[in-house]
Amino acid sequence: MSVHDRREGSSPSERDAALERLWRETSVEQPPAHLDAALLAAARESVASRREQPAKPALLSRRRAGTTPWLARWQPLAATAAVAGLAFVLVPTMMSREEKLAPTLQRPAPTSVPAGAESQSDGPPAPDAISATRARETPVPAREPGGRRERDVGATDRPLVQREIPAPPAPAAVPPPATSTEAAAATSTEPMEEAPEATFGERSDARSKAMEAQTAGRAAASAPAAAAAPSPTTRDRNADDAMVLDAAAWAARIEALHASGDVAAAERELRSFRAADPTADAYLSKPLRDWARTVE
Amino acid sequence: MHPANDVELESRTDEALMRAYGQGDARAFETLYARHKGATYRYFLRHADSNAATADELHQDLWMRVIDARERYEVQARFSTWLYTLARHRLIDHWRSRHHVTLASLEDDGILMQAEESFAAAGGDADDPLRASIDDERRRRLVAALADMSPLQRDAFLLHVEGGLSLEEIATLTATSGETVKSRLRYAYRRLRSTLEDRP
Repeated sequence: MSVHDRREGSSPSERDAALERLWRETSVEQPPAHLDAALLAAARESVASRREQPAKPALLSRRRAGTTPWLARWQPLAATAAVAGLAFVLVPTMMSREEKLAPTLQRPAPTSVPAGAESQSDGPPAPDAISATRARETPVPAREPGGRRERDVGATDRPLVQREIPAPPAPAAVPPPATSTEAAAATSTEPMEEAPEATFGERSDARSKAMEAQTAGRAAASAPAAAAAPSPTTRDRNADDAMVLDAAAWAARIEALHASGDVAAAERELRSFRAADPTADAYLSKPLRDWARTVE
Repeated sequence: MHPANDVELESRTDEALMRAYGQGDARAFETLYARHKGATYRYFLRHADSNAATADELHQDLWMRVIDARERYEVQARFSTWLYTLARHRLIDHWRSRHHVTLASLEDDGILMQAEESFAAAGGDADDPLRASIDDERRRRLVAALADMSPLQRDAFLLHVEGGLSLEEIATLTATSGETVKSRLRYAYRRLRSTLEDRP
C-alpha cells in the first residue's frame, strides 16, 4: 500500500483527481538501490548499537542495585558498632581520669581555708580550679615562711595588689613555740593563704580585739611595705623580700597588741618573733624597741 | 517482543511501525521506508529540478534524521506530517546553503501572487484535457510545468500528491492557513492543466 493509493480521491474535485492520477502515473522515480541499502543498513546498525548500549547501563544498574541495598542495610549497624566501641573505650578512660581528679576536687576544705578559696571549691570544678588543684598537687619545694605558696598558687586568681599584701603572721610562716592553740594551729601544714580568718575565728574575744587592732596597724604597716615592694607585676620576687614583709607585718602585729594593752600577748609575739628572727627588734618602731628591751 | 511477520507489519499504521522501530524492530523501519521512500525521493527530486544527485543527498539526510530520531519519536500527529516536516526543513536548509532560493523567497507570498497573476492571464479553466489519452509527451510536460511553478505552489502540490497530506496538515506544516494552502493548490492544478491543454 503506497501513499498514492491511500490518498486517492482526496482532491478538491474530480478533475484534480484525474490530474493526480496522471501525476502518479508520470512520477514514478525511486531512490537508487544503493541508497536504500545504505539507509536500511544504518537503521539496523542503529538498533544493534542501541542493543549493546543498554546492556552496559543495565549491568551497571544491576551492580548499583546490588551494592546500594547492602550499604543501606549495613551502614547503620556499622555506625552503631563504631559508636559503641568508642564509648566502651572512652568512658572508662574518662571515669578513671575523673577518679584521679575527684579526691583533689572534693577534698574537704580545711577549716583554715579563706572564704575566697571556699567559694572556689564550691560547685563543679572549673578549668581554673582544676589547674589550681593540679598546681597544688604538683610537688613544690619545702614551704618557705612568708607565704611563698601564695604567690605560686593563687597568683592568677586574685588582684596583684592583694597578692602582694603580706599575710598575717600565721604560725606556718614562722612557727612559734607550741604553747597555745595558736601555736598548735601554727604548726599545721596548711598553706598560709588558707589560714588567717579561720584561725582568727577560733581565738578568744580579747584576741579578736587585739587582731582587729592589729589589722588596722597592719594596714598602716603594710602600705609602705607594699609601696616599697617591687612592681606588683614582678612575680619572681625573692624570698628575702617576703621575709622582710612578713617581719614587718609581725612587728606591726606586736605593736598592735602592745597598743591594745595586751602586753603579755605582745611579749609572747615578740619572743616568737625573736625566735624566728634574731634581728626582730630592728623591725619595731623606736618606742616599741625601748619596750622590747625590757622583754627577755 | 517477538518479531512480526511481513503481513503483520504491512497492516500496521505508520505510527505503529515507527514506534516499533524505536523499540528496536529494524524490520518495522524497512516496512516504513518502503512505504514512503518513493514519495520523499520524488518530493526532493521535483524541488531539485530533477537533479538526482541532490535528491539522493536530501533523501539520505532525511531518512538518517528519521533513524536518529527513532527513540524520540512521539505520536503527536500523523507520521507523514512529521516526516514531511523534516523533509521540508532539510529542503529549506539546502536552498539556504546554495543561495538558490532563500527562505524568504520560499515563504514570500509575492511569488505566489505573481504566479497566480500569470496563471490568470493565461486563461481560465477549459474542458478537462486529462480525459484525453496520456502519452509520454504529456508526462514530460507535466513534470516541466511543475518545475516552473513557484516553490510554494510546487511544495503544496507535492506535499498533497506525493506526501498524501491533507490541506489541514499542509497548513499546519507550512504554518499557513488552510485557505492559503487551498489557493496554492488551486493555482498549481490550474497550471498543470494549462500545460496539458497547451499541446503543440
